Parts: sequence; C-alpha cells; structure tokens
Amino acid sequence: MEPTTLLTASNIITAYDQSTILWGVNLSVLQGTVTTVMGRNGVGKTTLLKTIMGLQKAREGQVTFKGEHITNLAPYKIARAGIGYVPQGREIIPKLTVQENLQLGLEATPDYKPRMAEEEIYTLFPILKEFRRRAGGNLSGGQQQQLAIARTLISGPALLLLDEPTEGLQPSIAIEIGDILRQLVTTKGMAVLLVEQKIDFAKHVTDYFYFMERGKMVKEGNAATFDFNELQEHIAV
Amino acid sequence: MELLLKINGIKSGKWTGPKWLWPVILAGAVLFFAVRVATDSSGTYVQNLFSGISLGSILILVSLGLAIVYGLAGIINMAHGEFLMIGAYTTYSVQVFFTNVLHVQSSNWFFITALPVSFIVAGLAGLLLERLIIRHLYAKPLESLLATWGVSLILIQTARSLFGDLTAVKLPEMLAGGWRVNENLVLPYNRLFIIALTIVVIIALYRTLTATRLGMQIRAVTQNRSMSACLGINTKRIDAMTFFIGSGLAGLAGCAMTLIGNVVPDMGQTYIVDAFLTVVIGGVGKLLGTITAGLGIGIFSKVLEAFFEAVYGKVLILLLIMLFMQFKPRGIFPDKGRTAAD
Repeated sequence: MEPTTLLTASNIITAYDQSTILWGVNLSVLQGTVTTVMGRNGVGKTTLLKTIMGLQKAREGQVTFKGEHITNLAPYKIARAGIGYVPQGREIIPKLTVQENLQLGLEATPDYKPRMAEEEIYTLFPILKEFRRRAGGNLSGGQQQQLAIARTLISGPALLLLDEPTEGLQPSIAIEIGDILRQLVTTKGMAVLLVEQKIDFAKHVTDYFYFMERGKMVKEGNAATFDFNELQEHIAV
Repeated sequence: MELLLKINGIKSGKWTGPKWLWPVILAGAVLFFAVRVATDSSGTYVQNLFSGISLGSILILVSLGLAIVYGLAGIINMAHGEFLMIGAYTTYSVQVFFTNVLHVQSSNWFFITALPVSFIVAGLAGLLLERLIIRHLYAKPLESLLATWGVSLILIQTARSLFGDLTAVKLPEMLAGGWRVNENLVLPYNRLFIIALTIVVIIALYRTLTATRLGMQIRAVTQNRSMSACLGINTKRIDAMTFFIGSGLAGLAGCAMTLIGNVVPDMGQTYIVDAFLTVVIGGVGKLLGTITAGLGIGIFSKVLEAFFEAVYGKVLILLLIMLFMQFKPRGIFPDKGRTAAD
C-alpha cells in the first residue's frame, strides 16, 4: 500500500520585513517516514519549520496537514492539530522541572490526557526519570534535547518537526537519539520532518531527502538513490 | 570617584566588598529596633512596626498583581494603581447599595460582599484594558507606558466626576476596636484583618501558580512565550487571565484600603510608585522577592517616618533603595546557576 501524504507545503514564500527567505518552497512528508531537509547555514531551513508551525507568516503558498489548510494558523492551533515542534536550542522552559515540562506537552491534547504513558517515555529516555525533579534549565544540552523530544511525544503528534537536534551533542548521544526516532517511526507510524546539516546523522535516520539552497528546494530523492557525494560537495563549500 | 567606588566596593554593578557587611548591617538594624522596642514603655515603636507591616501588606497585594503582569507581558502598567482605586470605589458602591437599596443596617455584610466584588470588578476593568489597548502594544514598552498612563488619568477624572473628591467607607462593626495587648499597646482589628487577608491571598496565589494547570501555563508563557504557543497553549487567553488576576488583586487591595483611609480618586497614585519599587527590588517575576520587598518597604517607611518627618523618611527610603540596587541589580533573590539569564 502506498503511504499517504501527511504534510504538504506548496510554493511557500516567507519574508522577514523586506528580506525574503523562502522563495517558493515545495515539500511533502509521507506518513511513517523520516524526511530530511539539508542545506547550509542561512538557506532558510529553520524559517521553513517556523512557517509550518505558524511562528512566521507565509506571504504566499499553502501548508496542508492531514488534508486541511493550516497556513498561518496560530501556533497553538497547529500544535493541537498534531504537529510537535522541537526547535533549535531546544527551548526548554528553564524554571519548570523536567516533569512539569513534560506535562506542558499535554497542552496540545484536547482532553489533557497523555497519548504516551509517562513510564514509556522514561523507558525511552531513562535520564529524564532520574532528573524529573530538577529544573529544566539545569540539564545539559543532550538531556534538554531528549526532554524537548519527550515533551512533544507525550501528546502523540502525527508529525514531529526537528530542527538540528544533534547540534552541540556528543556523537554517541546523537546516535542514540537517531535510534529512538527510527524506533518511533516504525512502531508508532509517526512522521518526522528533520532539518539537519550533518550528513552522517541524516543518512542514519532518513527515508527521503530534500536539498535546499537560497530559499528553494534544488534536489530531492530517496535515501537509497540520493547522490551524497554531490551533496557533500555542496555542503562543504 | 575612584576612591568612592573602592570604599563602596562597587565594581560594574557587582558587590566586591566584604561578604559579611550586609548581614552585619541587617543584624545591627534588627538589634537597634529590638532595643528600642524593649526599652519602649509607650508602645509607639511596636505600633509603628505594626502599621508598617499592614502598610507592607497592602503594598504586597498591589505589587503581586503588578509583578505577575510585568513578568508575563513585559508591560509597565501605569494604570495598575487605578485598579486599586476602582476596588475602593466598588466597595463604596456596594456599601451604598446595601444601605440605600437593600436597607441592611449591619455594616458587616456589605464589606464581606465587597471583597469578592471588588476583585471581580477591578479584574474585569483590567481585562477590558488588556483587550482594548494593551493587546496592541505588546513588545512596545514605551508606547504602552504612555498609553496606560493616559488611561490612568482618564480613570482618575472619571472617578472624580462620578463620586466627587472625597468619599469614605464605613468601618464594618466587626473590625472596629482592637486587640489590647497591654495598656499601652492596642493592635487595631482592621489592620490585623489586612495582614490576614494578605496572607490568605499569598497562599492562594502561590497554590494557583504552582499547583494548577492555569498556573503552569502562566509560568510557561512568562518564561518562553513562543515555545509555549508551539506546545499548544493559547497565549492570548493566558494574557487575558493574568491581567484579570493581577488587576483583581489590586482591586482587593483597594477594598482593604477603605478600612484605613478615605476613598479619593487619585489614591492609586500614592501606591503605584512604591509598588514599582517593590517589584524592582523583589526581582521581576519572583513572588518571594515581591513579598519580602513589600514588607521591607512598608516597615522602613513607617519606622523612618516616625524618626524623621514623613518627607525625609521617603527621601531616606529612596536613597536606601538606590544603594541596594547598586549591590543587587537583580533583586533580593537573583537566579543562580545555569538558569541565570547571563
């Protein structure tokens, strides 16, 4: 059976005041897959995620999720529609405890009930159980990254937006996080839209690649057929 | 100048002098007051201290609202004092309604009714202000400062047109008189009531912020607005709720104020400056800091006013606060560790 399309972005144009960042981005994410957008600094990867999340208004173009238009909706409505967002820099609420941060994830559910039991989350991320009474701001970068992912998982999102999750993490933890993502995609049928600069990590988890340059997608393809040597050259420049 | 800095131990806003200095000054002050109180046969010092605590309680009530609103929205609400005034006039209106319309003779019932009513009326006024004006001025601190100041002037004049220059609320019978500790010392019931009310409000607010869903939403939005929105929190609703609670607390303070003073249109102005000082000293968004600072300013005001004339007492307080802010620019209880802002 052909997997259904969960999210499509068509011809997205986004600008900060006078400077346009996205020049007509097209992208789609299939259910139960990891889709990765690669590209150098400043090509608009983060802006793309922010536009999908409603944090940045799109000037033109449409975002559809589960067949419904979500373009430029308020971020809280997009979160409640089933999109979890793990931003660059994690954005843990610093003075709330780890447990309270997790509980905040429930805000995206209509009935304030967890879609994934707290125990299951602690099995995926054992360190969070150990530190559950600590202030979120006192965790290390890797622990905060795990908390940021766990915080979205608790509401059972259909799609997870991840913005450079491995930035500043030691390689072993990055691999661990990659494994957990793969596991969630296979067992829960969740979809992931990943923005990444590290080819190694991306290859480890991705099903479908996009390559972005100056606010546009310039290449795309299946992980199996994608030409990584060419990509390497692009990113290395 | 160089020498002065060295003497004070001030270097780029950080205290570099001996660590024992502040505790010693504090202990000295406490000892000084203790001796005065112990050798005080007329009871005036205890009386002053007591007045200070009840003044501090009102300051705390006003400042708590100001602190949570400022913490959440980053808005300096110059009209916050007018919610106190609105609370006081609501109390007056409830009294008029009870005596003239319902013909209730006892003066207890109107006051009991006025407590929640003044909270709600002032809260709704705050909500209206947020919805109509402040909502459009988030992230514009200067404009919002001017706009809320304008609103405060309008509110004062409206109150003057509606109620005249001076009105007074009858002291409820149950709060008349006082607790006679010894023959020289009487602690008035109305001031005791204000202190008790403040304690109840502090506990209720603390419980709301730490143990309820709304409280956690408020704390989350205060600390990271856009991420809270991305987690599914309707931040506009939280803004409105916070304004309601903050303004309501000022209204409650206004209701309490009617027990110890007249109701005048610009009564809020008297308290707003002290309330801002309290928030700044306490550190933005910190309940414990606000409480300590409110109590401290209240007590120092009353005690210093007793030693000097009222005006010089005020000058001395402002000087002390300026010095204090040099040493502790982040308030009484600054953040420590990784969560600290810098």
